Amino acid sequence: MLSTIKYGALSGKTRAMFGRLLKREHYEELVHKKSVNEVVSFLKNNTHYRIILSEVDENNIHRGQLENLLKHDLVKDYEKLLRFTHGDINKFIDLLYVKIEIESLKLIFRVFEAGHADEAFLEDSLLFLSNHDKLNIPKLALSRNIEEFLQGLKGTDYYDVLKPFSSEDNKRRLFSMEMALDLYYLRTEDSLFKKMLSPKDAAIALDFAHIECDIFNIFWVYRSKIFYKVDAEVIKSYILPIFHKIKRSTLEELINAKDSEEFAAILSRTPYRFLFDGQDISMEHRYSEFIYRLHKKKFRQDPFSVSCVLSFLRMKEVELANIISIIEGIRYKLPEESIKKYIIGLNSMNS
Amino acid sequence: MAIEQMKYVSILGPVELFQEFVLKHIINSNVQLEPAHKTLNMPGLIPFDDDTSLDNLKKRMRILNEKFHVDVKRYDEQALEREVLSPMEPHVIESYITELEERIIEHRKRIEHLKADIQEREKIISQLMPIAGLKVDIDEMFHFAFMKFRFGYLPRENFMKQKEYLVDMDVVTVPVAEENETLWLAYFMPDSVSPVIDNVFSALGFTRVRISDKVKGTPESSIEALKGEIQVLQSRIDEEEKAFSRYLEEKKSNFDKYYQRVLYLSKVHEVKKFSSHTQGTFFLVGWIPLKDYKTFAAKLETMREIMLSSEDPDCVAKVTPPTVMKNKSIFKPFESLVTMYGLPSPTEMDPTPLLTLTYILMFGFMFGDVGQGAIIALIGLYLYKARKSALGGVMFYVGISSTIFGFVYGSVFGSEEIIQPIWISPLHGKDTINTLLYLAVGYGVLVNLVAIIANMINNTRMRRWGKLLFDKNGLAGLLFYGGLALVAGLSLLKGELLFSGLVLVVVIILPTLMIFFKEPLEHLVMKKRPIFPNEKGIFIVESFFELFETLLSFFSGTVSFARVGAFALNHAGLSLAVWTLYHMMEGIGGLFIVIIGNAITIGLEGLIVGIQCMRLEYYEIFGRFYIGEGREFKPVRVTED
Repeated sequence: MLSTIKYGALSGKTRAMFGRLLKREHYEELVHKKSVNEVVSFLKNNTHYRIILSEVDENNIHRGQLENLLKHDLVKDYEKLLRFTHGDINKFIDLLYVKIEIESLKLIFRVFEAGHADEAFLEDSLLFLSNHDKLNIPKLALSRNIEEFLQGLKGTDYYDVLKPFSSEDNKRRLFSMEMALDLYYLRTEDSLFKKMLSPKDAAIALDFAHIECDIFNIFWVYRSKIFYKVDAEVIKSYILPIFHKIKRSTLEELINAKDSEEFAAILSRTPYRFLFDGQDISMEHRYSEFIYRLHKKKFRQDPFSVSCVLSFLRMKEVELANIISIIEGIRYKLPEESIKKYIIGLNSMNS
Repeated sequence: MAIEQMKYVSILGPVELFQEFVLKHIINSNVQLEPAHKTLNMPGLIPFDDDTSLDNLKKRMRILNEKFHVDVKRYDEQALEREVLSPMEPHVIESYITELEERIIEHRKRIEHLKADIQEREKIISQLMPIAGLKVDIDEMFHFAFMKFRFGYLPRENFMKQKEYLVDMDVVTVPVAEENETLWLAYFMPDSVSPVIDNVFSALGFTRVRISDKVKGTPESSIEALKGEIQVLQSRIDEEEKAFSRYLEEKKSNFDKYYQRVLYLSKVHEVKKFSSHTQGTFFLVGWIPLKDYKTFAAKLETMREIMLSSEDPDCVAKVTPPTVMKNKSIFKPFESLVTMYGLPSPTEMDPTPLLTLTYILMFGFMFGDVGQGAIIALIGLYLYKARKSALGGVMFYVGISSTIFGFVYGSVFGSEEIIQPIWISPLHGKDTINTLLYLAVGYGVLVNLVAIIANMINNTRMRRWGKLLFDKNGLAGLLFYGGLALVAGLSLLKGELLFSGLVLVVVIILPTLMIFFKEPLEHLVMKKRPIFPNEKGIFIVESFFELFETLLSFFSGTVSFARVGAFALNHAGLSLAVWTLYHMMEGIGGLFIVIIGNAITIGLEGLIVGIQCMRLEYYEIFGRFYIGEGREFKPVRVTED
């Protein structure tokens, strides 16, 4: 009863927003399109994106611009939801938002490393960090390299997390920094959810967070092991010591696996066997598909829990990723059927 | 007491003179600009191109100014010629700024390095302390044949989370010190696995410090040497700081000059956004207060190339003039309370004087105390003079009012024994409670009537004849409410009910009908057709409820003022409590109670009374006549925004 009162407004809001998400028929329509402009035009005239696209000239929009707009749309959703909550749930949403901040930071570092970072780009990307009062955004936008940028992050957790890896002579600087950010996020989720949420909510949120941890570990082991042949000791040093449905010993077995067949065989003993089902689609895609369904299920099952916001936001992220996949598919002239394969949740979606 | 009159000016001039003209006569001249292309209807008019060339520079200089603390200057014409208009290569400033920025970064790096060096040495010392007694050459310890040794630091959290893995590896870790989430440690490992283990530690964010590079000889002598080095490093930090502040001092005057130049020039670019031009002529339109207009026009008169034309606000259809309130200095602080609600639009009366008088009166009435009032006034005076806070001014005046009412009630710091009341003491005497409440309601009636009259004046100014006559806050309301008040007042005086057929017609029936048929009557007066709305049924129901609401709101709006009296009683009650406590505790304790009690009364009740007054002002008084949809006057000025 109490949770009904607590989540009444929020649940109503997310349910309304969920109703506006793209349906199967929208995707069917979208994959037919021949150009980015047609996609934008369709989104602008037929979907909830009409608001964010209203100022946009669909005949004259670049792929990068659209991606940026979509990202802004997600941020707007966060802001909307924040208006329906208070107290702990607010903090929880803020914590979910950290993921967006981290993705923006990673992008910024990559662009710095490639040497393309200019003021305009930084100002655009830094918008996603404007939640931090301590940050002087205009000053940050004027940074000329990663060191200066990091200096500007002083006062945030990110500075402390990134500082040890930032020295110029670190050959794997970009990798280390991205890894540090990911680990930071997963660890923060793990430690804070329990503190800020009621037991029932914490159980739901932690379940998702821990699956994320497991997947993070599995992916890391797989990639470093199979693709990059990293030393077992180094692989271990990046393992996130949070184990959910895959035991530490199983993970060690994975690290010692000889090849990808053995890896798949070991994994088939765990609930994550679905990652290697079938051939023609990637492990990452399979995971997204799995987690999308899980969120959808929770969203329906527990309307008056933290899931109403968590699952909604994750499903919205999936939608944005789908649109980007479609645009990329169109850009690289893939046939409709192959584009469809990249759309997450298409088969479990009702038309 | 009113709103400053504005003049609408249009200026034409040759494009070549644009920059000079804007600098000398627009910026800092109390002129607010309107976008010319929106207001001027002329073919061939094009806006200037956006010039953002200085934006980046301005931002960078603003950040630099955190070091220099240079203020924005106002220049006269000669200074402008000299400082801003004199030609200068754009890249001069740019390279000057870049040099400054690099020096600042350099400085920061140097200091950081020096500090890191000191810290390193401190940690090495604490690493060496346990073996200080050994008479062995350190160098030898670090060059074993089959063992490798590393010393350094990493984030504590990273280490803790991987501790279990490290146990399985061929490595021995020895933590040395810990501070701010950073862990200093040493680790030993067999030479054969050292590349892998080093990789593991670098993945944890381990930064290695090479002890053997830093020290020679026995531990004891090394520690001595390191301590000496730390002292040297410390003095180098001091030197660097001094050199840096000398450097800043040296550069300050030039930076100041360039900063002003960039600020002024980028303001010109901002003005450009408002301006438009044809082939060779630029156009500027905007507002200037009437009092500044004369000197402005006279100045422009002497310039042959510039043409100025002006219009009164009434003749300008497209844009409404901005509002500048002009009030005597007593009223000035209260402008802030009006602005909080909304600026008066140019056709409205400025409600500041009315607000000032009613606010001061109400506050004193509700919170009458000689001592406490004086304290509020003194705090207010300090805030007003020293901090230039408008709220301080408000506090000063209401404090004085409170003091005066204190004499009326005979209350000093809540005690009613020190002086005799001039009039009544709220909680003493037989009927004082009722007298106060009635008086407050009477005051409310008066204020409501003034508000209705103010609304009628506003409607006259705006030529809304229908509203003037038939609105509940117009003539109809005045007849009804004023009439009833008059009848009630006179009846009270005479002691008998004064009522007759004439009174019934003028005070009740006529206004009721006026309010009921307000909409058609308004249409009739304003010559709008059709006079009656088509849906008669809806009209009647709506009108009935509106009438009902009107009567109710007159009643509640009047009774609402009873709170003014209630708070006067409340204040006396709170004071009584404080002094009762005082009498229960003798000596120092009692004094303590009185001081705390008075502080609470001033803080808590002062705040509540202030807020209640605001509520009455905004809701009961402003609600009747004030719209407050004016625009703020924003002249073009060079300031740190």
